Amino acid sequence: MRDLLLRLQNIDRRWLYVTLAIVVTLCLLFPFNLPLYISPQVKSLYDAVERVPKDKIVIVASEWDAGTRGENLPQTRAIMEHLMRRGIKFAILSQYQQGPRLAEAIAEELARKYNKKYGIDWCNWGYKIGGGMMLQALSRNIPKTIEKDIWGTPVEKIPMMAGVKDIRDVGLIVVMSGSAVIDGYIAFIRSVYGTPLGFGCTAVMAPEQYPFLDSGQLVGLLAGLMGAAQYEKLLSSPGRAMRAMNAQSMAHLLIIVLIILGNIGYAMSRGSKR
Amino acid sequence: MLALKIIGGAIVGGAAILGLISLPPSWRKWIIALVTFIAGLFYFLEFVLPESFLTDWLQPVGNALMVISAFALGLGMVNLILIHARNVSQRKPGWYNSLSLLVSMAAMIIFGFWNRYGHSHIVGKIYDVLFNGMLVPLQNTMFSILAFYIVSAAYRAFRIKSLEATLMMIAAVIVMLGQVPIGTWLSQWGWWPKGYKIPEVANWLLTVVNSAAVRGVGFGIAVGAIATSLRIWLSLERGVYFEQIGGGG
Repeated sequence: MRDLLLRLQNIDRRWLYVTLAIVVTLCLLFPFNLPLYISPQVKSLYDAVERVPKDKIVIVASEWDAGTRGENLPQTRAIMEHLMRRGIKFAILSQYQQGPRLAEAIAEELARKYNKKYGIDWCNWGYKIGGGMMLQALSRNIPKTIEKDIWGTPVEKIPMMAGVKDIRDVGLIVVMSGSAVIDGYIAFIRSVYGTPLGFGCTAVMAPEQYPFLDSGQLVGLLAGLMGAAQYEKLLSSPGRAMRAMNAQSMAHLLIIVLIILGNIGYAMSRGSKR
Repeated sequence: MLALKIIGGAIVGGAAILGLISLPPSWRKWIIALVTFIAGLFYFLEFVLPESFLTDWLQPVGNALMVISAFALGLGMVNLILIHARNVSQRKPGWYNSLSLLVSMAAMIIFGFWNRYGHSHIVGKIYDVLFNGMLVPLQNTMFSILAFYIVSAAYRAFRIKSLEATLMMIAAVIVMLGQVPIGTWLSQWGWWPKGYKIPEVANWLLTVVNSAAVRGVGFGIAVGAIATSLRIWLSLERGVYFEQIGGGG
């Protein structure tokens, strides 16, 4: 028995991997219901979308690629669904090569559900490089900076872009990303023009973003898959994020159990040394 | 017309790069330093001054920056092709990985452009398989593997070796539970004082304790970034490149 307890502090990592894979797979195959807490940061972003005036557009900055799709896709989907439901026009923008195409697929899927049309209810500005400089130029003159959408149509010819000149015509920007791209939006848009800014980030990035909520530079935050699930709950539209939360719950629980087991083994080994 | 512009831009850009390479190292050094300084000065003045004549130049300068970035991307690609083509031709260990990289790169480039400008249904399908069927799942898999490492790392790292480690572990457990529905579910059982349920305590840890630490780190990073930016802007940052072409400095 003592030997077994001692071995708990040194479980072969391959067993850990297999256990995690089994736990996650079972949770995805056999879903069950757990209560979901809505954090103030998610509610705040939801309220910010609710406050966007109908005569202004929203920029959905899809600053992610397939690597962070698991977290950023449900976030993007939830925000787009809310916008389409409210009838707020939005434009997709990305500084990631894959971003526009991945976001476009989500918008097309939702457009079929809500009967929305490209160019009238949403458009895709495509992939833009230039970082902070591009954002500065965008704030001053949107048509000149964007020039053409992803399909090569001049921005002036897109119906929903009529009257959209600069950042004052934008009611909200929501950035979804797995990188520190939000810094540029805070420095060059939010801090200069005061345009409300929301952020959907991967869970590992979330701790770095909380000071921006305190300072009011971010109106709300979706932290990882949990943030997307909370938003889906607010929309009363359960999607892939809410379905995946059980698997994430059990994975976290597994980690905690392993930490406890490891510490039991560690305590036993210290006891035997004394 | 667009094709002409692209070809013209590539010729002018290529000529500028060749011209820069053929200059004596000391000249090259000064030209790079001058361009860096003027570019930095432009963006600094444009940002701090109210709207001025500089504002009208923001767009053209931004476009120039995008073109230069595109050249940097092209340069990276040329380098990658040269290195991996050499690996394949010399049958170096793991040459088949280099071959797969070259084939994948060529396939994405060819079918990407073909799909964009060719408007062929079959090509569209092939590109879809390459992008949605291969690239996206491969990148997903790469990121997903992190979950396994995190489990293994958390299991080994969180040991009660000291008071600090214990505090860290308790905070980690609360946040881990508070960030998922299981924390809310556990909070339904027993008596929890108002505002002290697991998700609420986790949120407090993140928004108060964590924020204070992040702010401190943020200040340090910002000061460092200002110092580094100044050094780059004024070409005081003598990296490997300047040492190679200018003989130190």
